[in-house]
Amino acid sequence: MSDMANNKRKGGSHPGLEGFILDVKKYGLLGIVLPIVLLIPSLIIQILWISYDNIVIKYGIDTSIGNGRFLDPDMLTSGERRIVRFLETIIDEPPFVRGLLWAFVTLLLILVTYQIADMLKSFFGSNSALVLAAPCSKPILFFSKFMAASVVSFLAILLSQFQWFLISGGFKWDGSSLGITSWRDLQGIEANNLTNISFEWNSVYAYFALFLFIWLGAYMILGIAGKMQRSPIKMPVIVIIGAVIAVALFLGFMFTLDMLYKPDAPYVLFVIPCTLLLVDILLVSRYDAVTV
Amino acid sequence: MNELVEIKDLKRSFAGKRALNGMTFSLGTGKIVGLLGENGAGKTTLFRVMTGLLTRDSGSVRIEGIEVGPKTNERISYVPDHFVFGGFRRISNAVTYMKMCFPDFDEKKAEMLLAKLHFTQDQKIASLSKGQKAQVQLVLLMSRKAKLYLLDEPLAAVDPATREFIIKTILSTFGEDNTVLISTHVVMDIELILDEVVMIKDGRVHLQGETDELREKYGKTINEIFKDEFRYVEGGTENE
Amino acid sequence: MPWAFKENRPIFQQIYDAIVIRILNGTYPMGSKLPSVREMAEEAGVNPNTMQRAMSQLESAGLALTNRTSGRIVTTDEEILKRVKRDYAITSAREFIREMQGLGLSKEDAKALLDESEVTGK
Repeated sequence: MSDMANNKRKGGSHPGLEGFILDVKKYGLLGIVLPIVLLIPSLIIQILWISYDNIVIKYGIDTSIGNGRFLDPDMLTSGERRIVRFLETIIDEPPFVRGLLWAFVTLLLILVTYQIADMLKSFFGSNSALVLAAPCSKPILFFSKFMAASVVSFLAILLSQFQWFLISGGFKWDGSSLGITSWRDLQGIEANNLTNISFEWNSVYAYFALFLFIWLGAYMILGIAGKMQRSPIKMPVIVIIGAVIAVALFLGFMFTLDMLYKPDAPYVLFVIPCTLLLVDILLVSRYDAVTV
Repeated sequence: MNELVEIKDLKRSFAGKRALNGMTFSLGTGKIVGLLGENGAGKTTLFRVMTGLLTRDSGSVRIEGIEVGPKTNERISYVPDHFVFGGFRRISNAVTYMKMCFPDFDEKKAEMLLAKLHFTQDQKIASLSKGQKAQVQLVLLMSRKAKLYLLDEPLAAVDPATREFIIKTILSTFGEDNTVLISTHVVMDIELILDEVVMIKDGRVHLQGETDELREKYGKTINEIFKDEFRYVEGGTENE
Repeated sequence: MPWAFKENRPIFQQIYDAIVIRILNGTYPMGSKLPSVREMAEEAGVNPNTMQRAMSQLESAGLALTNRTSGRIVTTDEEILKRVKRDYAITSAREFIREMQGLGLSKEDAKALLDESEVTGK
């Protein structure tokens, strides 16, 4: 028996922790590296905004017109003119910007699909005989995969929101706080013309909650299907029950999304995902592989 | 002193039908045992219950006196009938995974065996043939210093060279402090290495005994005894 | 000489017979060290336990001795080997005569046949 204990210390650390690290690495390409790569164009736009700000300071704004036109437009160099023209149409979302935003959405969708496929294969599919053979309690194995998927997805969603930020205006420090400039609000360098940065946290929470619904919900459906294998219920019935649960989950999500506009929204948004997590952990502790 | 494997009146259903219907048997250490049964007799289901991939309806399964759980998974190495390392890019990734998740994994042994089979660590798993995958999987899972090895149909659909390698690996891994339980519905290739056989039918044990004793008693090969036991209809079920 | 087994009789007995023959024909010379149980089991493609059982029987028959330092060695006792050789030969002879009788030939016919026959090979 002490030999077994020695083996434990000699060998790798806890399978749950190892699994977590491996999964983060696996998801990291889609969820962290590519989003950062996609931020580069947005970063370029951000730099353009700062140049724009400098142009405005250099030439001054004709405030009488009210839309921030330059006092002496003919004095701009061709390079400066190019920057101004590009940024002043950005509010109309030219194809370039729209393309960037869609690239991010697509990336997020691919990430979630990949994570769910990985989870299904690890717990229900061909790899389950290996993953679940690890000398580690199943809830811990499940939870570590859940954490890996959640951490990476959250970061990816955060980066996608941050991208929107980078595009919409230049960061500017007015001496006491960080604000964001935009061409409409540009009236010189006074502080009260800067809009304060208000990062769209609610959006982040909403997308993340949706991810949780999908990931945890997928597991729950298959976990329940696994449990139902015992009983003489036909497959089509199981599929229907699965579909009903999926619809119920979706409605639940839409309902909580509606709650977003209420004051303590973020907390309400996560009530159902937390419940799902508990149900899933219960299901996995008395695990039944789905056999085809 | 606990037997290595103690299964008592084990029951498990699928879609209302009993896949394991009161299975009872025990196994000691230091044996190579054949779990013989036709397809659908409950062999894979039994392995899944023993490794915690399926819950049981009733009865008990104990490994070294301990109920099935993470502690028993420490002692069991399960080699399934399908490839389970598909989630890894290269052989080295699979080796690392084994090292990190299984404290009893013998990395040196695995590397030595892989090299003997002319595999390189940076070989891509997706590029391996079916036979090669079977070899890699067997090497990795039998490089664990387990108390009980469960091999699910290890010789099904592999070429003769792989078959020989598998038998050699089983013989060299097997020792007096472990037991290898091999499930199969084809007995011929594996008769000679079995100490004992447990024949199952309809989810229950029909016959259990030491191979040489059975040969003495019936005057037949284990294969013939097996076929006789499981002849359902006139003309038999020989489908090999 | 490859190992060949009939799986409808106890294997350990067949292993025992095969090793005895190898000892008698000099493949395992007197006083030589026998390979380990594991090695022989792998070579023969059988379960080490079965091989062990055959080896134990060899020891009980006096054909092999276990020395703590040098492992298992073939006996150097010529008398035992002679006796065993004779026993096996007699068994084979009896088998032969039985087969001839089964064909309807007498012992004398069988003797004559022996003088007539040539055996090629080693």
